[in-house]
Amino acid sequence: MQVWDWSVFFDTLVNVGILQGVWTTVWLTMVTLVLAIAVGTVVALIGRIERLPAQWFYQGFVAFFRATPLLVQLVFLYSALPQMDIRLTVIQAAIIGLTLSESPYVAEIVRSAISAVPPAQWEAARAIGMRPLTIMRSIVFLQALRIALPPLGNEFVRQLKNTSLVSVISMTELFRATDNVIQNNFRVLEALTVATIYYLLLTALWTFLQRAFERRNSHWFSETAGSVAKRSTGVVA
Amino acid sequence: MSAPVPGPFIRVTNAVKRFGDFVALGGISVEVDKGQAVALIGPSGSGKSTLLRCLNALERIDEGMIIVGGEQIGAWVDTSGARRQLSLRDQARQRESIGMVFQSFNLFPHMTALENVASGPRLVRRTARLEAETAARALLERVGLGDKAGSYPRQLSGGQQQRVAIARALAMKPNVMLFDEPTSALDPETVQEVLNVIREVRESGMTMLIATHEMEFARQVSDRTIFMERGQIVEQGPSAEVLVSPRTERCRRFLSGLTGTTTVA
Repeated sequence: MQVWDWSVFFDTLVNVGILQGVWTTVWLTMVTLVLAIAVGTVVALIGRIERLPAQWFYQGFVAFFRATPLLVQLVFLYSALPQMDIRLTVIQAAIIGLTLSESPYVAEIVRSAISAVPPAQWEAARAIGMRPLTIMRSIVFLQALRIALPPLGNEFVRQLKNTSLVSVISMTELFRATDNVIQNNFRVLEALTVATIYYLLLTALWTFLQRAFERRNSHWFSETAGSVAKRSTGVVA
Repeated sequence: MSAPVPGPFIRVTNAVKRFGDFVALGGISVEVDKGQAVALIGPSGSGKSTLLRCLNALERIDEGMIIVGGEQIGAWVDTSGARRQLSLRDQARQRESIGMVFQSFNLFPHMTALENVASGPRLVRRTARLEAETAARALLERVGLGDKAGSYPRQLSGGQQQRVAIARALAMKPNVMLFDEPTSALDPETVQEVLNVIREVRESGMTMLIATHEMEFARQVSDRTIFMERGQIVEQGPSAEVLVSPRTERCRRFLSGLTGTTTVA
């Protein structure tokens, strides 16, 4: 048997199953990251409530989903819940598992971004007569968003890699699609090289898009950061 | 809420404010009539800022009473005579008519100068955008920044930012303006432009309290001056007297210390 077969490599590269797997990986990453941002933001806002039950909930949520491996969570959702008569489809289990496991990381990012908005901003808004919800929505949240966006972008890459774990509950994303090819032709080296290339391409593409976005909106990002750093002196426009 | 009562517009009675063991306000009483301008002077940590912050309930007093425009600030008295905290909503409503200008401007960095000035009317009073921005533009003109409406705070000098902050406070049409060392964070060359704006606000008849280290400015713009030290009022009276020929030794020492190296603790 040849060590490396180029024709197998190129066949695998454009294999329909693999390409469908790439697409599944992409949409699964995007959907679960968006959901995780929604869940994580709500959890972060609960974590800002200075009441004990809210604090317990926040700490408990973050600790629980960070302390348990995603792999275990996925298998639990898909294989253990049916014993309690809760039956999830593969896609449901994958989406719920990836969302819940990512949301504590988002919650921590959002919470620290909100804390990074100077207290003086709250005071200035209160002094005008704004109520807490208005301040959160129109003053603090918009500034926190600019602080949170770069780290949230990094989470996309992490989530993209995490999707490979849903293969164990038989969801055919990129990794499992690759495995299917291997089961047919036993060319492990070529197939996994292809999978690696696709993961690399996807993360590289995302990193490029994120950099481009941040560069294009650099003024947008520096307004918050800049005003935090310099308090009194400014450059005359 | 209680009906407006005749008498001084601002009445602070035996106000006490503690931060842990530190007594920031040691039971002070101040009265300011409508249309009066009062300068607060004294060394750092003397309680000037704390007094201003208590006047619009950014800080809560521990004892005593603060009445502005006939309304108790931050608290109300129930039928049994006990003092209760006002809801956040009512505190916010009270702050609408009390303008505050901070030492470090605290403009909203994600908004242009125009949006900053319009933010109060838009987000608190729900004024329509066009109306709020027309009024905001007029206020920017008034503080001499009509051409900076579209600039973001980071594009403005300190003095310009502070003038925007004054316009932002004025946009709520307050009954009283509180200035907390408005020029202390400024480069010397921009101090005057801010003082000129405050002077203009004063000439419009605004009731105001100004914590400041600009003694010459305090003498020109204020009717009365209050000298504070360690949370107490040491001396108060017409500005011309307190600032020019103070009665107390401590005030004299403070004023002379300002010209040389400060010796006041």
